[in-house]
Amino acid sequence: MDFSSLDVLDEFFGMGDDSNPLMMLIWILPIILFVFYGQRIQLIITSREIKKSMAELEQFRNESRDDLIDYVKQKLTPNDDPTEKLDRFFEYFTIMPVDIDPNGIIPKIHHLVRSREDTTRKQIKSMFSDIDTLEITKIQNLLEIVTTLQLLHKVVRHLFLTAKKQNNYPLILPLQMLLPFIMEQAEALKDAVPAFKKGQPIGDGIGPLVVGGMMLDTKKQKAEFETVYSESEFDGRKLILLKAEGPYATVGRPGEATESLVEKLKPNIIIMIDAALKLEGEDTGDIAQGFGAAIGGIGTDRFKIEEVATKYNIPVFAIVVRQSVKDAITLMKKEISDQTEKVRNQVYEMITDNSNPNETVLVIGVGNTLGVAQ
Amino acid sequence: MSNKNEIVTAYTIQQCNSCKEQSKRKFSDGDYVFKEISKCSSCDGQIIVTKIFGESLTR
Repeated sequence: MDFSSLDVLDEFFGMGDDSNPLMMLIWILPIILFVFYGQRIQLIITSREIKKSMAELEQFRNESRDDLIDYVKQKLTPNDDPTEKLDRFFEYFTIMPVDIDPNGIIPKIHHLVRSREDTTRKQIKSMFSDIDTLEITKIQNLLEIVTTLQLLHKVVRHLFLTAKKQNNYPLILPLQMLLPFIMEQAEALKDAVPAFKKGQPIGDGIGPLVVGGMMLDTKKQKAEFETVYSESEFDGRKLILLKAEGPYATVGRPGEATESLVEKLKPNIIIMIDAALKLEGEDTGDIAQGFGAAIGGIGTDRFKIEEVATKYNIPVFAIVVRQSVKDAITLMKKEISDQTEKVRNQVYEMITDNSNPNETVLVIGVGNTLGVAQ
Repeated sequence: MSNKNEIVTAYTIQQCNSCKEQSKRKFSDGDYVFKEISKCSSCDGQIIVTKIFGESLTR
């Protein structure tokens, strides 16, 4: 059959003629559709992705909650069924102080955070007739993980449902942009649970690990709640070594401890060792030196250290070990652990470079000391 | 996002503080860094845990 003379398509769609009305309609219809319904279409597509992430968030939250409840029931001996009480803990919230007039806000935040910690500790203690400090601190950290996951899920769900309810696509854009970061954090939190249950060191513990090694065979004294210090000597200098009390899952109270030790022993320099977030492209375990108080958290401890250092004109030096959020809160990676000796040597080098014999140096190992004694 | 097929195994490194003899084994419950384990069989020094870390296997 000869198709060469078959020009039905050309006739019907007017391929060679721009004025064909049907062809115009085919072009114009989608434009009209996108002008009026474009945002809704985008909302539908984006919604699907967000729903998937939300389901994952809920799963992370449920898994970590169940893990914690199982851990408490099987490994410890609670007085009653802990489920109801723990579920209530997960809903705890903190109302931050008014910051319209920020003057004097730090002591208020400090008081709030400490009250929350103390209350949680008391409540955990009350659930058991006999529980040791290690287990209390482990449960405190696990509670924090589940509470954060629950909060992340609730916030994401709220933003998503509000955008859906209002049929407002621009409202969902910030959520879509933030979601990968939220999911990264959520996944890190979920992966942190096993290390906390088993009492294994986490990446954030590199500071306490370095200082803990320097504290071996020295007399440990209580500096503050869950915080210890000891005195040592190096190359004619007096060293004051400070870290959270291990192997508990705690960061201790480095702010208050530094305040009291500086008042009492008047060090000439302060050296802080901590884990720090790496930038994309940097390698886990990279070591960097710098100036200033290397300490994370809500900011109250850093404030106290900066205040007392300024008051007595003490230079503050920092050594950090780079790692991701996930590396910092999950089982310590070999790349981080292998840097311990190198960091310790840099601390000693920093001491000799920045102080003179007969001077006093305060060395602080900052971070969660879970699984690291001294 | 992390690799779903990543398996992390925890290891404990213990070392004699006198002869520095080192051994590596899988982490067991109750281990923590600087924990005193036992007396060294070869030199009577003290064996302590020096490191605990995770090594990942990607399938």
